[in-house]
Amino acid sequence: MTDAFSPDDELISAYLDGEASPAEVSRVESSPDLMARVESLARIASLVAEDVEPLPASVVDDLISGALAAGDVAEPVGGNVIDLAEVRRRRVPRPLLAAAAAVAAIALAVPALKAINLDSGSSSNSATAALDATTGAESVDSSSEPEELTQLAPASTAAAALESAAAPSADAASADSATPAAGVAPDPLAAASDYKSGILGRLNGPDSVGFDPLPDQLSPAPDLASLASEITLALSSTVPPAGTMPARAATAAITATCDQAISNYLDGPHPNLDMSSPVLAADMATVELNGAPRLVLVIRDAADHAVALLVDLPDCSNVVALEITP
Amino acid sequence: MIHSISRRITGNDADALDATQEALVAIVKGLHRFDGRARFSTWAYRVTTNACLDELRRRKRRPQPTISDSRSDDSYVAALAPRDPAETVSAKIDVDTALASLPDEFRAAVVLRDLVGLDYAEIAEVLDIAPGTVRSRIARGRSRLADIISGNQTPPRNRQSSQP
Repeated sequence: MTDAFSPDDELISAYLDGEASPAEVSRVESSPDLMARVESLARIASLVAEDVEPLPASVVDDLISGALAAGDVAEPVGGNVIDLAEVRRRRVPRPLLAAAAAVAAIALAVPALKAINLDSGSSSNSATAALDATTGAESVDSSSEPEELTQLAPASTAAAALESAAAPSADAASADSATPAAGVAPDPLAAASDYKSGILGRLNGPDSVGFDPLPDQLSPAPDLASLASEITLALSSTVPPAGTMPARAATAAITATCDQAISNYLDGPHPNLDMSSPVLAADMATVELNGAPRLVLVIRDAADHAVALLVDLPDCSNVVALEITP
Repeated sequence: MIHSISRRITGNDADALDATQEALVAIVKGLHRFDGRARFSTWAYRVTTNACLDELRRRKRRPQPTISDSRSDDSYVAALAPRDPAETVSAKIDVDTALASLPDEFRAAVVLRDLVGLDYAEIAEVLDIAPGTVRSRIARGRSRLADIISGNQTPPRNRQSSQP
């Protein structure tokens, strides 16, 4: 394609937009050739201005509730310490969330905010993000072992990440003593649960279908193999149902907070998970892995491949992918 | 409007949905930082445009077939050129395809002008560029769109100019 830009087009375009100077206007209007080009560019402008087909109301609801839930999730407070007082302080106030809901609805040109659960993060137990799931899909082999561990960020080994996850840091201990005024010792597992609840709200829309194979909190696991066994056992008892949420929209909702770290995995090569498939189901849990709290995000595709992402909160500094092959 | 901007800038439904979600999340999260110095709509459009450009950058990192992969420029132009008024539906599809062929910065400026109706000063604020650059980008973007949709591939040096 050649670039057929004529210097006159800048003048004509400005004229069309009412941004030309009086001298430029005179020049354009005195030239039949330029006026003809005005018509041509005006037609192009009208094509671009044509209405975009609006989104279905259910999708709009999902987008808005997802955004509100993301706003209700605490931002990372830095370091390896989860300070619940800080987490709560940083939450967007409810009135602000309500304002945000109105803004989001207006921005999407939706007349009503139906089915928005402003408290979705606090009471939901199930998580669903699935589309056109194969209802007859076979169960994941509960005896399967993890085939691959992928350390995502920072660029150290998965083993190192797990070691760091297994042993609460000295920073954590010092921070415990640094927050006596709160009157409550920081509870990392509770904070992980708090975080999980916020994300769950994004997955529960009016079109959601139940997919809840994991308990809210998995049994404490001494190592990854034990954790994988528990996850595969849970998955083996649940078949992802048909849903309506496109895979990438679902994962975008899931990853809004730990976006970069998890998206690096989801956008990268992951042979055990078919991200091109329109079928995904997701569930979340918290787990104490060798003494350290982790958030567990399980994503399962139509072919029953599953990946458990273990997220080190609150800063998402370690995201380990535990790939499970049927 | 957020979804409309996303749809026109990203050029497809899936990426538009992702960009819309990202924009709404950013708006909700950033609402308390909105200081009122700009109009809210201008700020929201800026957030949306950035979300779209981020989505396009992510898309470029993902391997996928492109127009140049699948057909030559000549056949591409031929496919875009509407042959008669009955092809209105095709023309509607083609404007997205034609927009997709523009550089991201041209496309964003054209969409903010023609779809959203912002003036040059507002677009300059949204894109954080000079108004003169806005004028140039919109003109170049429209010029390319016109050539693509009309099938005109005449090089600029051969085009008659009324410049004195």
